[in-house]
Amino acid sequence: MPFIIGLLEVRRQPMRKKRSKMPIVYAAVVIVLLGALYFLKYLNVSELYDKPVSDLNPATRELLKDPNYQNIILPGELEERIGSGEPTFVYFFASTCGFCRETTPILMPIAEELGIHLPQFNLAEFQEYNRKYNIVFTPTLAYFEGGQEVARIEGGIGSGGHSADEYRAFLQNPKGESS
Amino acid sequence: MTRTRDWLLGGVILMLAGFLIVSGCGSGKDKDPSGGSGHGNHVMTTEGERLETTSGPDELPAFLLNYADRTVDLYADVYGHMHILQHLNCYCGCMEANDPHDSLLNCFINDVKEDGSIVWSDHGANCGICLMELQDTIVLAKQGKSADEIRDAIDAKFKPAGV
Repeated sequence: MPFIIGLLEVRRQPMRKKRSKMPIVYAAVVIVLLGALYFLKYLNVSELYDKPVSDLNPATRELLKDPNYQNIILPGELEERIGSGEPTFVYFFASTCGFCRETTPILMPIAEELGIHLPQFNLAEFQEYNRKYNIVFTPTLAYFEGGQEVARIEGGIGSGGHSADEYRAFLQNPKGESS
Repeated sequence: MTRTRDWLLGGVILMLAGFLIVSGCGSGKDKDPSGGSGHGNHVMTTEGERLETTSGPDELPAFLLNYADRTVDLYADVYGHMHILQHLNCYCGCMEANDPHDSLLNCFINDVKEDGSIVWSDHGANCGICLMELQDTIVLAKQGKSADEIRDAIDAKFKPAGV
Protein backbone atom coordinates (compact mmCIF):
# COMPACT_ATOMS: atom_id res chain seq x y z
CA MET A 1 0.00 0.00 0.00
CA PRO A 2 2.68 2.61 0.87
CA PHE A 3 4.28 1.63 -2.40
CA ILE A 4 1.23 2.65 -4.43
CA ILE A 5 0.80 5.89 -2.52
CA GLY A 6 4.48 6.65 -3.06
CA LEU A 7 4.02 6.03 -6.74
CA LEU A 8 1.18 8.55 -6.92
CA GLU A 9 3.13 11.17 -4.94
CA VAL A 10 6.21 10.95 -7.12
CA ARG A 11 4.15 11.34 -10.24
CA ARG A 12 2.03 14.21 -8.97
CA GLN A 13 4.80 16.77 -8.49
CA PRO A 14 6.47 17.20 -11.87
CA MET A 15 3.39 17.09 -14.10
CA ARG A 16 0.50 18.46 -12.14
CA LYS A 17 -1.57 19.58 -15.05
CA LYS A 18 -1.25 16.56 -17.21
CA ARG A 19 -2.45 14.21 -14.50
CA SER A 20 -4.15 11.33 -16.19
CA LYS A 21 -7.66 10.38 -15.19
CA MET A 22 -7.08 6.74 -16.00
CA PRO A 23 -6.63 5.53 -12.39
CA ILE A 24 -9.95 7.08 -11.45
CA VAL A 25 -11.61 5.40 -14.39
CA TYR A 26 -10.11 2.08 -13.41
CA ALA A 27 -11.17 2.54 -9.82
CA ALA A 28 -14.72 3.28 -10.98
CA VAL A 29 -14.71 0.17 -13.16
CA VAL A 30 -13.55 -1.92 -10.22
CA ILE A 31 -16.27 -0.56 -7.96
CA VAL A 32 -18.94 -1.24 -10.57
CA LEU A 33 -17.64 -4.77 -11.11
CA LEU A 34 -17.57 -5.49 -7.39
CA GLY A 35 -21.11 -4.19 -7.12
CA ALA A 36 -22.16 -6.43 -9.99
CA LEU A 37 -20.85 -9.43 -8.04
CA TYR A 38 -23.69 -9.04 -5.58
CA PHE A 39 -26.25 -9.27 -8.35
CA LEU A 40 -24.72 -12.39 -9.89
CA LYS A 41 -26.94 -14.55 -7.70
CA TYR A 42 -29.99 -13.17 -9.49
CA LEU A 43 -28.90 -15.13 -12.54
CA ASN A 44 -30.01 -18.26 -10.68
CA VAL A 45 -33.43 -17.55 -9.21
CA SER A 46 -35.65 -20.42 -8.09
CA GLU A 47 -38.99 -20.27 -9.91
CA LEU A 48 -40.76 -22.06 -7.08
CA TYR A 49 -39.60 -19.65 -4.39
CA ASP A 50 -38.99 -16.50 -6.39
CA LYS A 51 -35.67 -16.12 -4.53
CA PRO A 52 -32.06 -16.57 -5.65
CA VAL A 53 -31.14 -20.22 -5.11
CA SER A 54 -28.14 -19.15 -3.01
CA ASP A 55 -30.50 -17.41 -0.56
CA LEU A 56 -32.46 -20.59 0.13
CA ASN A 57 -31.85 -22.86 3.11
CA PRO A 58 -29.66 -25.83 2.03
CA ALA A 59 -32.49 -28.19 2.98
CA THR A 60 -34.84 -26.28 0.66
CA ARG A 61 -32.33 -26.42 -2.18
CA GLU A 62 -32.31 -30.18 -1.82
CA LEU A 63 -36.06 -30.28 -2.52
CA LEU A 64 -36.27 -27.91 -5.50
CA LYS A 65 -36.62 -30.70 -8.04
CA ASP A 66 -38.38 -33.20 -5.80
CA PRO A 67 -41.73 -34.07 -7.42
CA ASN A 68 -43.40 -34.14 -3.99
CA TYR A 69 -42.55 -30.48 -3.36
CA GLN A 70 -43.86 -28.73 -6.46
CA ASN A 71 -47.05 -27.22 -4.96
CA ILE A 72 -45.12 -24.51 -3.12
CA ILE A 73 -47.20 -21.48 -2.22
CA LEU A 74 -45.55 -18.14 -1.38
CA PRO A 75 -46.66 -15.70 1.33
CA GLY A 76 -48.57 -13.37 -1.01
CA GLU A 77 -50.54 -16.15 -2.68
CA LEU A 78 -51.14 -17.82 0.67
CA GLU A 79 -52.76 -14.77 2.17
CA GLU A 80 -54.76 -14.17 -0.98
CA ARG A 81 -55.97 -17.75 -1.03
CA ILE A 82 -56.99 -17.79 2.63
CA GLY A 83 -58.37 -14.24 2.48
CA SER A 84 -60.62 -15.13 -0.48
CA GLY A 85 -62.81 -17.02 1.99
CA GLU A 86 -62.96 -20.09 -0.23
CA PRO A 87 -62.36 -23.37 1.61
CA THR A 88 -58.75 -24.45 1.32
CA PHE A 89 -56.26 -26.79 2.90
CA VAL A 90 -52.70 -25.59 3.52
CA TYR A 91 -49.83 -27.93 4.32
CA PHE A 92 -47.41 -26.06 6.59
CA PHE A 93 -44.03 -27.78 6.56
CA ALA A 94 -40.35 -26.91 6.92
CA SER A 95 -37.71 -28.26 4.58
CA THR A 96 -35.47 -28.68 7.66
CA CYS A 97 -38.05 -30.79 9.50
CA GLY A 98 -37.42 -34.53 9.37
CA PHE A 99 -41.01 -35.44 10.29
CA CYS A 100 -42.25 -33.31 7.39
CA ARG A 101 -39.85 -35.01 5.01
CA GLU A 102 -41.28 -38.38 6.05
CA THR A 103 -44.85 -37.17 5.77
CA THR A 104 -44.92 -35.27 2.48
CA PRO A 105 -44.25 -38.25 0.17
CA ILE A 106 -47.14 -40.13 1.79
CA LEU A 107 -49.52 -37.20 2.04
CA MET A 108 -49.21 -35.72 -1.45
CA PRO A 109 -50.33 -38.90 -3.28
CA ILE A 110 -53.33 -39.15 -0.93
CA ALA A 111 -54.36 -35.56 -1.70
CA GLU A 112 -53.93 -36.20 -5.40
CA GLU A 113 -55.98 -39.36 -5.23
CA LEU A 114 -58.77 -37.42 -3.49
CA GLY A 115 -58.55 -34.69 -6.11
CA ILE A 116 -57.62 -32.06 -3.52
CA HIS A 117 -55.21 -29.28 -4.44
CA LEU A 118 -52.84 -29.05 -1.51
CA PRO A 119 -50.64 -25.93 -1.44
CA GLN A 120 -47.38 -26.39 0.49
CA PHE A 121 -45.99 -23.54 2.58
CA ASN A 122 -42.31 -23.87 3.53
CA LEU A 123 -41.84 -22.29 6.97
CA ALA A 124 -38.07 -22.66 6.82
CA GLU A 125 -38.02 -19.94 4.16
CA PHE A 126 -40.61 -17.66 5.74
CA GLN A 127 -40.13 -18.14 9.46
CA GLU A 128 -42.29 -15.24 10.63
CA TYR A 129 -45.30 -17.17 9.30
CA ASN A 130 -44.86 -19.63 12.16
CA ARG A 131 -46.13 -16.90 14.42
CA LYS A 132 -48.59 -15.48 11.95
CA TYR A 133 -50.45 -18.78 11.55
CA ASN A 134 -49.62 -20.06 15.02
CA ILE A 135 -47.79 -23.14 13.78
CA VAL A 136 -46.07 -25.10 16.54
CA PHE A 137 -45.65 -28.76 15.60
CA THR A 138 -44.59 -29.18 11.99
CA PRO A 139 -45.95 -30.49 9.77
CA THR A 140 -49.38 -29.00 10.31
CA LEU A 141 -52.20 -29.54 7.87
CA ALA A 142 -54.71 -26.75 8.32
CA TYR A 143 -58.14 -26.17 6.86
CA PHE A 144 -59.40 -22.63 6.23
CA GLU A 145 -62.88 -21.38 5.48
CA GLY A 146 -64.21 -17.84 5.34
CA GLY A 147 -60.68 -16.50 5.84
CA GLN A 148 -60.34 -18.33 9.18
CA GLU A 149 -58.63 -21.50 10.25
CA VAL A 150 -61.34 -24.00 11.13
CA ALA A 151 -59.35 -27.15 11.90
CA ARG A 152 -55.84 -28.55 11.89
CA ILE A 153 -53.95 -31.77 12.33
CA GLU A 154 -50.50 -31.38 13.95
CA GLY A 155 -47.48 -33.64 13.67
CA GLY A 156 -46.68 -35.89 10.76
CA ILE A 157 -47.38 -39.43 9.65
CA GLY A 158 -45.44 -41.91 11.79
CA SER A 159 -44.44 -42.70 15.38
CA GLY A 160 -45.53 -39.96 17.75
CA GLY A 161 -47.81 -38.48 15.11
CA HIS A 162 -50.74 -39.84 13.11
CA SER A 163 -51.51 -42.63 10.69
CA ALA A 164 -51.91 -42.05 6.98
CA ASP A 165 -55.58 -42.93 7.40
CA GLU A 166 -56.07 -40.16 9.94
CA TYR A 167 -54.63 -37.70 7.44
CA ARG A 168 -56.87 -39.12 4.74
CA ALA A 169 -59.92 -38.75 6.98
CA PHE A 170 -58.96 -35.15 7.75
CA LEU A 171 -58.66 -34.32 4.06
CA GLN A 172 -62.06 -35.89 3.38
CA ASN A 173 -63.81 -34.35 6.36
CA PRO A 174 -61.73 -31.64 8.01
CA LYS A 175 -64.51 -30.37 10.25
CA GLY A 176 -65.26 -33.83 11.59
CA GLU A 177 -68.91 -33.59 10.61
CA SER A 178 -70.95 -36.74 10.91
CA SER A 179 -72.38 -37.64 7.53
CA MET B 1 6.86 7.84 -18.05
CA THR B 2 3.80 8.76 -15.96
CA ARG B 3 1.54 7.32 -18.67
CA THR B 4 3.27 4.00 -18.41
CA ARG B 5 2.91 4.03 -14.65
CA ASP B 6 -0.78 4.83 -14.91
CA TRP B 7 -1.32 1.96 -17.27
CA LEU B 8 0.69 -0.33 -15.02
CA LEU B 9 -1.29 0.73 -11.99
CA GLY B 10 -4.55 0.30 -13.87
CA GLY B 11 -3.47 -3.11 -15.06
CA VAL B 12 -2.72 -4.22 -11.53
CA ILE B 13 -6.08 -2.98 -10.32
CA LEU B 14 -7.90 -4.74 -13.16
CA MET B 15 -6.08 -7.97 -12.44
CA LEU B 16 -7.05 -7.70 -8.79
CA ALA B 17 -10.66 -7.09 -9.78
CA GLY B 18 -10.57 -10.02 -12.17
CA PHE B 19 -9.16 -12.25 -9.47
CA LEU B 20 -11.85 -11.16 -7.04
CA ILE B 21 -14.59 -11.88 -9.55
CA VAL B 22 -13.23 -15.32 -10.37
CA SER B 23 -12.83 -16.24 -6.71
CA GLY B 24 -16.26 -14.79 -5.97
CA CYS B 25 -17.87 -17.02 -8.58
CA GLY B 26 -15.95 -19.98 -7.26
CA SER B 27 -17.18 -19.64 -3.71
CA GLY B 28 -20.67 -19.00 -5.03
CA LYS B 29 -20.60 -22.32 -6.81
CA ASP B 30 -19.46 -24.13 -3.69
CA LYS B 31 -22.55 -22.95 -1.90
CA ASP B 32 -24.82 -23.88 -4.78
CA PRO B 33 -27.21 -26.81 -4.59
CA SER B 34 -26.28 -30.02 -6.39
CA GLY B 35 -25.73 -31.21 -2.81
CA GLY B 36 -27.75 -34.31 -3.67
CA SER B 37 -24.68 -36.41 -4.35
CA GLY B 38 -23.06 -37.12 -1.01
CA HIS B 39 -26.02 -37.07 1.31
CA GLY B 40 -27.40 -40.51 0.71
CA ASN B 41 -30.66 -41.11 2.48
CA HIS B 42 -29.98 -38.70 5.27
CA VAL B 43 -32.08 -35.64 5.28
CA MET B 44 -29.97 -32.57 5.92
CA THR B 45 -31.97 -31.26 8.79
CA THR B 46 -29.14 -29.62 10.69
CA GLU B 47 -27.26 -27.92 7.89
CA GLY B 48 -29.27 -24.72 7.71
CA GLU B 49 -29.60 -24.35 11.46
CA ARG B 50 -28.93 -20.91 12.84
CA LEU B 51 -27.31 -20.25 16.18
CA GLU B 52 -27.82 -17.24 18.42
CA THR B 53 -26.02 -16.46 21.67
CA THR B 54 -27.70 -14.75 24.59
CA SER B 55 -26.36 -13.71 28.00
CA GLY B 56 -28.14 -16.49 29.87
CA PRO B 57 -31.24 -18.69 30.21
CA ASP B 58 -33.50 -15.77 31.03
CA GLU B 59 -32.78 -14.04 27.75
CA LEU B 60 -34.40 -15.97 24.95
CA PRO B 61 -33.02 -15.68 21.41
CA ALA B 62 -34.50 -13.04 19.10
CA PHE B 63 -35.35 -15.59 16.40
CA LEU B 64 -38.22 -16.74 18.61
CA LEU B 65 -40.04 -13.52 17.70
CA ASN B 66 -40.95 -15.34 14.50
CA TYR B 67 -42.61 -18.20 16.33
CA ALA B 68 -45.88 -18.97 18.08
CA ASP B 69 -46.29 -18.33 21.81
CA ARG B 70 -46.44 -22.06 22.49
CA THR B 71 -43.04 -22.52 20.83
CA VAL B 72 -41.58 -19.69 22.91
CA ASP B 73 -42.99 -21.21 26.12
CA LEU B 74 -41.45 -24.56 25.26
CA TYR B 75 -38.04 -22.97 24.56
CA ALA B 76 -38.25 -21.18 27.90
CA ASP B 77 -38.45 -24.58 29.63
CA VAL B 78 -35.41 -26.08 27.88
CA TYR B 79 -32.72 -24.81 30.22
CA GLY B 80 -34.48 -26.12 33.32
CA HIS B 81 -34.71 -29.61 31.78
CA MET B 82 -31.20 -29.75 30.31
CA HIS B 83 -30.11 -32.58 32.59
CA ILE B 84 -32.87 -34.79 31.16
CA LEU B 85 -32.84 -33.58 27.55
CA GLN B 86 -29.16 -34.34 27.10
CA HIS B 87 -29.90 -38.05 27.63
CA LEU B 88 -32.81 -38.24 25.22
CA ASN B 89 -32.82 -39.39 21.62
CA CYS B 90 -34.27 -37.08 19.02
CA TYR B 91 -36.17 -38.83 16.26
CA CYS B 92 -36.29 -36.02 13.72
CA GLY B 93 -33.28 -37.35 11.85
CA CYS B 94 -30.83 -34.82 13.30
CA MET B 95 -28.81 -37.46 15.14
CA GLU B 96 -27.92 -39.09 11.82
CA ALA B 97 -27.38 -35.90 9.83
CA ASN B 98 -24.06 -34.79 8.36
CA ASP B 99 -23.40 -32.60 11.36
CA PRO B 100 -25.27 -34.70 13.92
CA HIS B 101 -26.80 -33.60 17.19
CA ASP B 102 -25.71 -35.52 20.31
CA SER B 103 -29.14 -35.46 21.90
CA LEU B 104 -32.54 -33.79 21.88
CA LEU B 105 -30.96 -30.94 23.85
CA ASN B 106 -28.90 -29.86 20.82
CA CYS B 107 -32.08 -29.13 18.89
CA PHE B 108 -32.63 -26.20 21.22
CA ILE B 109 -29.35 -25.39 22.99
CA ASN B 110 -26.11 -25.86 21.13
CA ASP B 111 -23.79 -24.92 23.97
CA VAL B 112 -23.62 -23.37 27.42
CA LYS B 113 -20.46 -21.32 27.79
CA GLU B 114 -18.34 -20.98 30.90
CA ASP B 115 -19.54 -17.44 31.47
CA GLY B 116 -23.12 -18.69 31.51
CA SER B 117 -24.06 -17.41 28.06
CA ILE B 118 -26.16 -19.74 25.96
CA VAL B 119 -25.89 -20.64 22.30
CA TRP B 120 -29.41 -21.40 21.08
CA SER B 121 -30.32 -23.29 17.94
CA ASP B 122 -33.40 -22.50 15.86
CA HIS B 123 -33.53 -26.09 14.64
CA GLY B 124 -36.11 -27.17 17.23
CA ALA B 125 -38.44 -24.27 16.46
CA ASN B 126 -39.14 -25.64 12.98
CA CYS B 127 -39.14 -29.26 14.07
CA GLY B 128 -42.45 -30.80 15.09
CA ILE B 129 -40.96 -33.97 16.58
CA CYS B 130 -38.37 -32.04 18.61
CA LEU B 131 -41.07 -29.85 20.15
CA MET B 132 -43.41 -32.79 20.80
CA GLU B 133 -40.63 -34.68 22.57
CA LEU B 134 -39.80 -31.56 24.59
CA GLN B 135 -43.45 -31.08 25.51
CA ASP B 136 -43.77 -34.69 26.69
CA THR B 137 -40.52 -34.41 28.65
CA ILE B 138 -41.79 -31.38 30.53
CA VAL B 139 -45.10 -33.10 31.34
CA LEU B 140 -43.41 -36.30 32.51
CA ALA B 141 -40.83 -34.42 34.58
CA LYS B 142 -43.66 -32.56 36.28
CA GLN B 143 -45.19 -35.93 37.15
CA GLY B 144 -41.95 -36.75 38.94
CA LYS B 145 -40.68 -39.33 36.46
CA SER B 146 -36.95 -40.08 36.46
CA ALA B 147 -34.68 -39.33 33.51
CA ASP B 148 -34.57 -43.04 32.64
CA GLU B 149 -38.34 -43.37 32.73
CA ILE B 150 -38.71 -40.33 30.50
CA ARG B 151 -36.15 -41.69 28.09
CA ASP B 152 -38.05 -44.98 27.83
CA ALA B 153 -41.37 -43.20 27.34
CA ILE B 154 -39.95 -40.99 24.59
CA ASP B 155 -38.37 -43.96 22.83
CA ALA B 156 -41.60 -45.95 23.03
CA LYS B 157 -43.64 -43.14 21.53
CA PHE B 158 -41.37 -41.63 18.90
CA LYS B 159 -38.96 -44.35 17.82
CA PRO B 160 -39.96 -45.38 14.30
CA ALA B 161 -41.34 -48.89 14.04
CA GLY B 162 -38.80 -51.51 13.05
CA VAL B 163 -35.70 -49.58 14.15
